[in-house]
Amino acid sequence: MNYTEADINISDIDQTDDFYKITTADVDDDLIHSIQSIGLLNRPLLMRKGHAFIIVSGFRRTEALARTGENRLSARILHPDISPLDCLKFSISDNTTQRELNMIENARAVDKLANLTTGAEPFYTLVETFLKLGKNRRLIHKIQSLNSLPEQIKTIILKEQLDFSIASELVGYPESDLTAIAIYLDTLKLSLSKQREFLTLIAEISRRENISVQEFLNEPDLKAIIQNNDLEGNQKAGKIRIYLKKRRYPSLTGTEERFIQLVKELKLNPNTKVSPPRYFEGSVFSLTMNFSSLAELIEQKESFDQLIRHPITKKLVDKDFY
Amino acid sequence: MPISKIYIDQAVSDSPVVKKITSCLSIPFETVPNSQHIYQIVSDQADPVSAGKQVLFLTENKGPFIRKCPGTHNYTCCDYQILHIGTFCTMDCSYCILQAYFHPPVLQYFVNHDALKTELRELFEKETISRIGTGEFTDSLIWEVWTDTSEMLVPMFAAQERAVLELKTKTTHVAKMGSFDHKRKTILSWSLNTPAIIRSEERKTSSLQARLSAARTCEQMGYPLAFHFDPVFIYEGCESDYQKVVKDLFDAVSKENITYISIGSFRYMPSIYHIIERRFPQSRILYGEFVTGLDGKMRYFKPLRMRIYKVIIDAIRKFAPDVLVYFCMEDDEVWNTCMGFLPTSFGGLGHMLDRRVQKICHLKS
Repeated sequence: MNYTEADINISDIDQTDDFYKITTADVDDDLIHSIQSIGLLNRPLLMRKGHAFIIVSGFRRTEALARTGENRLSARILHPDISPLDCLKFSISDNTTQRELNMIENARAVDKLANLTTGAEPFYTLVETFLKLGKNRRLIHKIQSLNSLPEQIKTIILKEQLDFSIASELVGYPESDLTAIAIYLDTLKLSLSKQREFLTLIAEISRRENISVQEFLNEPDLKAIIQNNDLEGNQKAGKIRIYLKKRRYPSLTGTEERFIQLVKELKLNPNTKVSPPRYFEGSVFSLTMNFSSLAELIEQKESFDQLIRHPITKKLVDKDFY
Repeated sequence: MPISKIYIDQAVSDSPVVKKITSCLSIPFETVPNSQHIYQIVSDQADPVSAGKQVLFLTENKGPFIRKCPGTHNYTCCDYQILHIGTFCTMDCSYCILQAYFHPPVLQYFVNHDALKTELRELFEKETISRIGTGEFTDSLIWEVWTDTSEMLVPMFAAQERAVLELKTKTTHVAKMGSFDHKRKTILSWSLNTPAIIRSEERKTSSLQARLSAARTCEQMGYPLAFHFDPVFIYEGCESDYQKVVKDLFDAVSKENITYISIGSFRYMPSIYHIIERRFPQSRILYGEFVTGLDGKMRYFKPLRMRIYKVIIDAIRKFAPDVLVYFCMEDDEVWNTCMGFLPTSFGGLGHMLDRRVQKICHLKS
């Protein structure tokens, strides 16, 4: 690495130029306190650009030092002939040697490498060498694509509230849709399986009804649930799930409701359960009877006899609830 | 989709069938050592499904030419047999199962016709009725332009009295049919759908009117006909659209010459979902009320499909009370509710269809 060491004015650094920035972390008090007590252990790597300096690595250190009130920074200044790709390699290495990159940092690094390399082979080789992300090209592009997501979604990913596979499926949505989705994900804090279910239902409804995801999620019925401060996150999730299912599968959910109503009218004892064929597709109903003593079993027999004689049972079996 | 290149399996490069096809299609061709070569070329493309439609692989069928139709448990199957002349299709229907059925899907035509003929002769020696068709793994008539498939098959079936051949298509490639002495042992059949569905989901296929016009031409040539309302789609206005298709059908051909009409709703393997989504982003067919069927395929929620079935059946019955209408892959509940009977009451669906082709196609009992 061809560089010189120099003390420079922090005001001479253009801290808004984040071309080589990999980290997603903000400056925290720990770093500021550390610098205040023992100084800067590892000098930031800078490069001259026009009349100012830009940061190649050490974004957080530079900002933290400035926040301590210091005006001068001891830095390593890269030789101006060093290529942008080599600068990026320094930046990535400086980060990866200290810690494991998170999903967004990997996406950022892959995207920057893709933009600075020409030809497929050097790019994949660099990804393999500097980021250790393997050789699966489809996966590498999926990771890269996350960098195009808006900041709100990236924040949710960083909070580990959004799975990688689901996040990669969001790539390509208009930003306005993603902003609306971000509000839901952030508010509801869904499990992985629920995230997929919700996002599939939302996407399918919007496509079927030719409305944008944003328009759909901003409909009054949904907004009334998401903005209801009297409900906990999981209560909101439950209500929205029911709403989405009814909207996506109106006939199926209507049939389920009518079936449940008929079963209620049977007034079965709590140890007896009647279930329809799965999705009403087959013809086999199931009856579950639980008992823990002979007396209970005898009681269940009577309940069973009543069930057979009940006129609603015939309605159920004849599927008179379609 | 136009074919841009022919690949010839080295093992069949001397076949006269290959020479005939390459002379008909004036496009580049290349001999390859095996199928892996072509599969790799297709698989490496961004859209392997489209790529597979733009090459023609001439090879031999190493497996049986005659196969049982892959029906599934829990739904009533018609005991059909497949004559496996080739795979895939030059047309591009959004819902086509073949997009996910072959890995990768490649347009290929089997040229080892001597083996095919041997299997057919064995079939003809059986005492039972056979219904066999070429339109399951491909469209039966896309091959008419470059091959002599029907010229080979139609006379073979005409020369026996136990089996009937069905040529199922969405094309209008029937010009050559008039020159064959078919003896009504070949049924020409069309897959029918509403103009709205044909326009939005059946890319590069013939219009409804063109299909019906081709059917009328074949009727005039003396061929028995059949029609398939499969896949039926449920959408706003579908009921009146399908009623209109039925009316157009009976305006075009005579009911007495229809061997059978099948009905089946759109169903799909879950694995095809993302293929349709990616290749046909404008399509809305995936967003109906689908549930997982007993065979693992996604199907319209049963009360919805029964409703549209009843509409189509009522419309058909109005014009042709006696024509044989059957369901492709439906269960007893659907049969009972929509038809008012179970096939088992008449010896099973296969038997019902055998009796029908015996009568319409003049087969030996």
